[in-house]
Amino acid sequence: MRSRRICRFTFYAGIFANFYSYFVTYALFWVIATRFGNIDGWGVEDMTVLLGFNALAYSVSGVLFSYAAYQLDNEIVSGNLDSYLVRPMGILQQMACRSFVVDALIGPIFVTVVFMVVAFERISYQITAFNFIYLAAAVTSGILIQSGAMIILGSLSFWSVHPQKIASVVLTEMRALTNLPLSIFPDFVRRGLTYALPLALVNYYPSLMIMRKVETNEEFVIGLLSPLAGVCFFIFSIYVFSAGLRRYSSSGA
Amino acid sequence: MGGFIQAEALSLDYVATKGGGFFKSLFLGGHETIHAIKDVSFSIEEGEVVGLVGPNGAGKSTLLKVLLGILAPTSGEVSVMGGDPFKQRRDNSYKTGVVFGHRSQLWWDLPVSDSFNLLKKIYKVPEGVYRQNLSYAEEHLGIYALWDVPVRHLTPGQRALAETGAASVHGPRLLILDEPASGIDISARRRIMEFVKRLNRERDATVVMATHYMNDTDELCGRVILIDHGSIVADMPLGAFRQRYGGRRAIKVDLNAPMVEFSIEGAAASPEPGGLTWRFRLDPGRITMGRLIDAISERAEIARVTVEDERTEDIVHEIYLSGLGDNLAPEYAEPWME
Repeated sequence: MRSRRICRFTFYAGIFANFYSYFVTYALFWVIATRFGNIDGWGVEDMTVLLGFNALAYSVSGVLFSYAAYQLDNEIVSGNLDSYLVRPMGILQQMACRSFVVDALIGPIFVTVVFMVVAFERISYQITAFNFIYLAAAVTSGILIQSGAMIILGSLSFWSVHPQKIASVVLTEMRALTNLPLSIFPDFVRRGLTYALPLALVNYYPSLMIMRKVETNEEFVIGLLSPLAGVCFFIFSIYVFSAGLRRYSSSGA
Repeated sequence: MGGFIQAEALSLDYVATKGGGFFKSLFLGGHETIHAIKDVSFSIEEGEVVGLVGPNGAGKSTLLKVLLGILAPTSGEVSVMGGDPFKQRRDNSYKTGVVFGHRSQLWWDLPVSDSFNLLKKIYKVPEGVYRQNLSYAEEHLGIYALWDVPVRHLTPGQRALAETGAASVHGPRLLILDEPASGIDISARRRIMEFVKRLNRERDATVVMATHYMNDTDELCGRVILIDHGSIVADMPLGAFRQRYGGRRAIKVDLNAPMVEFSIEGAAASPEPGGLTWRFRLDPGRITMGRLIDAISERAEIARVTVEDERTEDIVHEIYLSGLGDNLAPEYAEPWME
């Protein structure tokens, strides 16, 4: 972060680029969704909330752990991981500090909050105490799930060479599926994104709860437990990373 | 286990994938075990300065990584500052300074000052201690001249000075140096060696240094551990090492006029460009210094003769040429094959 502040142009350019990128994404989404009317009962406001949960989680987790997801492999191959290991600080913590750039956070959060507030206003959404607490917990859980996914995908570097492509497929292509209501996809996609790689817990199930679209017991239970699932998934990701680090320590590769 | 650093029958194996054809490697991935460190035992007392020397791939850096707790040994026991370095890596890192000559531990985009301030926070160094250690590094390494320069703008020599200073900012009890003076100018190299020497003498830091450059060992180390193919092949005080494997004398002869060619049995000759200065390494059993001087006098007028101790670098070079372990030439074989 300090290095970005030293180069002011990079800092302001980063803020503008991120703001522009997210604004264009939301604007296009809004135009297309308005044109289609609704998708499987999800109106433009509902899908904005769906997209908002996803974007918030991804921007925060990306600022913290994208370096681990995409660069851990290079750090291992170059031997730089050893430099992290000789310092009295956690490896992930050091990587998070290294990748943390506030300019990548300001634009996405600002644009997302504006579009979500507009969406809530348009449907006259009543924010109760429970909703507010659930909303905060769901956003936190989404950040933890996305972060966990990044950590696990980065940890593949301990077992394979150049796994960034897998990270890219999961964090870009597969994640893009969750920008749409999960109910429009075949059952195996829904189950995969719920139980195998729980990206749907980042936004779909919390949106069902918030927008009162829960129809089955399964949706209600998953929606209610998704904040807890975020914590569990993040802990699991740390475990995977530690296992990988133990492998590195026993093989140096 | 006693000793500041203690290793007993230490071994570390890698499992590497064997080569093969494309399709074969896809379905029948063969593996082979590489013995990076083999049954190594040694002890280093607090306050010692030990040089770890050996050719590329000998296992020097791997051994340092084990001492740092980066790699866990496959078998055997190791203790650093009273505990298992792998299990207490974080605790030990507060008391250990590390310089990797081939990679930077500083933050590339930040000025040197910011890197030092970050390290102060990471190592939780009290302000007073930090100021004291910084002044010490400034006094001997000239850190303040680099203070506001982003690390990426430093020359290799300046970066090495900053890296060494950064490794000392938390007042380490143990300094691990892996090729600290690799590829840097002579001035920076001397300052670094002098600084490390002072850290050892004035601040009781124990130093373990892996290097290719035996000059560094000559300047700094009281003891040499020679390692090859993952095994220790010699471990003794530097003086004993030189006495045991050296024995030959080196003579530098300056001439008043260039001498194009010269050779004599029992002395390896190496002229400097221009032919005005010649260096000879004498084999004591085969030629005397007097006979060599007489022979040169017959060919050219001698301006000055300087007798030099044989450099450790030359001794090790001879040992490498002779081969280690089973391939040792007879005159080198005896000491470590007993």
